[in-house]
Amino acid sequence: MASFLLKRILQAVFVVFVVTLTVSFAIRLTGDPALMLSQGAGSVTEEDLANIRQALGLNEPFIAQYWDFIKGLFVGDFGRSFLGGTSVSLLISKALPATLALAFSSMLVSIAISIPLGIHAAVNKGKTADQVIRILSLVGLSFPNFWLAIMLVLVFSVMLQWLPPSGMGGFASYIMPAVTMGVILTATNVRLVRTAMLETLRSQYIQVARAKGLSEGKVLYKHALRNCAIPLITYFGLQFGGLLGGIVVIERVFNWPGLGTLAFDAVAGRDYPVLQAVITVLSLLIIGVNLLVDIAYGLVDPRIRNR
Amino acid sequence: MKLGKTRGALLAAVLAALPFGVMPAQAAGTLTISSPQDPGSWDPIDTFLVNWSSVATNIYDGLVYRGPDTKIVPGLATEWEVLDEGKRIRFKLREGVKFHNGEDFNAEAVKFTFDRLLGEEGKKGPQRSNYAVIEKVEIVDDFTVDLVLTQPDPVLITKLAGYGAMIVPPKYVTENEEDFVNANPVGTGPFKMTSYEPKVGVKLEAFADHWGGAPKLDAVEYRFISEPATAVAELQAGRVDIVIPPTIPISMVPTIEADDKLEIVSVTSPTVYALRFNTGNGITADERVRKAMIMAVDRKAIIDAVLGGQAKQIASFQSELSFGYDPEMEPLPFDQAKAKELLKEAGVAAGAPVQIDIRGNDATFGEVTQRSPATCRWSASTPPSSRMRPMFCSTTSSRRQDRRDVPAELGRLDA
Repeated sequence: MASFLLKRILQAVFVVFVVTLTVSFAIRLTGDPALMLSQGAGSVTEEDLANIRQALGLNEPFIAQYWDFIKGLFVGDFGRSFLGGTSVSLLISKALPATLALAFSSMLVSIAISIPLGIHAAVNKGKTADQVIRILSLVGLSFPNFWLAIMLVLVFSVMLQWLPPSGMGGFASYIMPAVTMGVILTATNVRLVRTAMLETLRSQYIQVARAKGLSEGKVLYKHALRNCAIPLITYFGLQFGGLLGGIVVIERVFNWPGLGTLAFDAVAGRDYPVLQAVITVLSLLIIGVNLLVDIAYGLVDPRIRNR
Repeated sequence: MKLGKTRGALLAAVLAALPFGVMPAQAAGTLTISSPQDPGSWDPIDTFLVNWSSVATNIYDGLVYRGPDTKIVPGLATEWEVLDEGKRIRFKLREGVKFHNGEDFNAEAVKFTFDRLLGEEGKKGPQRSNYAVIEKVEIVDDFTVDLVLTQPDPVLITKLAGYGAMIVPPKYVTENEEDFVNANPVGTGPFKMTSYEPKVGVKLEAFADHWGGAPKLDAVEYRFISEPATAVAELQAGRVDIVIPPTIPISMVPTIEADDKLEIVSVTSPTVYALRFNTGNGITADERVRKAMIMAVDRKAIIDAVLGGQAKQIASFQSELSFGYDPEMEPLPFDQAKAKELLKEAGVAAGAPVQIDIRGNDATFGEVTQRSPATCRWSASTPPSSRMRPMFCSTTSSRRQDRRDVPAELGRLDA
């Protein structure tokens, strides 16, 4: 187990290294932050720009800048934003909880919808209910999520004025963003639950449970669902990574003050330190979740551990 | 091609229930405004963003004030005179003014502000270059200061109305950490900042002791919303009173007009969108080619079809509100026959390629470049065929070298 863990952690370090190196390099190809900052100035001289670059540390060779970034990583110092000099760690510490809260709410919405629907579809395999659910999930899969977001805003904020169209606040502010993300996830999850359930329902212990005279509800939720929980949890875990990627768009539409908004502004403003930090945090999160899933799997199934 | 984009992209969309014109003189209450960007720091020397200015103008005062009519009027200075053939400006300062933290405003504060802007700290930011003409500040007495200039600068007075020239409290700035000052601005302005949440918004509260009298509003709240559709939804939901530019793309104007609770207030602004030619190299070095390119474009069509009629044609880089505007100058007419003739004279074959860089990422640009490719590409045979190269504004800079060879760029100027 220890060597398995060590291997996975080394892999994770390598992935973070490659991701951050690529991002740091790529953003530096897209333009000069000094010029970006001086956009409105009438008479900027080369000397002024050189002063700004000096202050931002951009005069150093790329490798030196990257090395500074890596050194900072180990002490939790991501440097300062080019726009206004705010500490990047501070920005991340505010944005990360917002993003995580939205991600978890979305997962909750998705799980709350997909489990009952998936079970219902499995139980009624081939019947009308099953067909309807499968078609609905296909429709859900085909939605562009930002379109759904805009439609929700139009109906619930503009027309009915029930929910706030943007921003992060009380419970009401979570509903639309979480439902938008949740619905997209649900499309796949319903199919997954259905398949897992179908397989479980064929097992002998389900027949035994039924033969004992247990109610259908108990059979489904107590026996069947528990037994297909392991693959489902694994899948939901892995889905979390993809969710973080999709959240950038949703955060922008709902003006959610999370990592996605931070990344978007950082790209538009050539704010290298902020972008590097957001990407690092996101990749660490995704790798972390995947690692947890791997470990959980390894614990459950010794064959994986030795692979 | 001077496409005078001048009715500044929908300067504001305002709730009809509260149009500015009929607001009672003492309208108490909170005004909520959607602003597209968080400048990150409220220190006057740190940024050059219009969206810094729209908030910070309420917090700080400059020596002079430039109001909505763009006229320069006294601010923290009550009067000024130009001495030494323009190389010295003497300001009489307003007495009895206090900063939000209780510090006194005086000549020392003015000197501190400019020493900081022009010194080591200012070097790190983009503001210094704008004021480089100031050699030093000399205190004459407690309420008289001289700005000593290296050479006369006719627009310096205008620049003193905002940005880096906003007066800051010396003691507060010296005694507190830079991070703290950036997030907790203190000025002499009509509103003081009570809270700032990065990427979310700021709250301002009326400063009753302002030298110009107490503000008519109790509080102003700015929320940072970058996505235009979201800002308009907030407006429609009645959670935001005003959306300030440049958030709203012209394509959303019909949506706002269709909502009877909302109103678009258009104001002529000195913002100019123009195609700027490379007069040094390539075929655009020839004046006839430049004229031909201007005359071949139906600017009126672009204004009507793409900009929703919210712009005016102009003859130079100056709009009627800008310094140096010459009312005698007429825009070149739209005349393709003449354009062809000019090209022939200049010996440029029809269809010669021209690359146009598009700088800036503001909403109006998006409209012009995305919705009028046909117009921008010029009509069939006349002019050189162009290749548009849209880019976020700082992209050009990393290619500084080859920039000299780009024949033209479509750019925006805020005067």
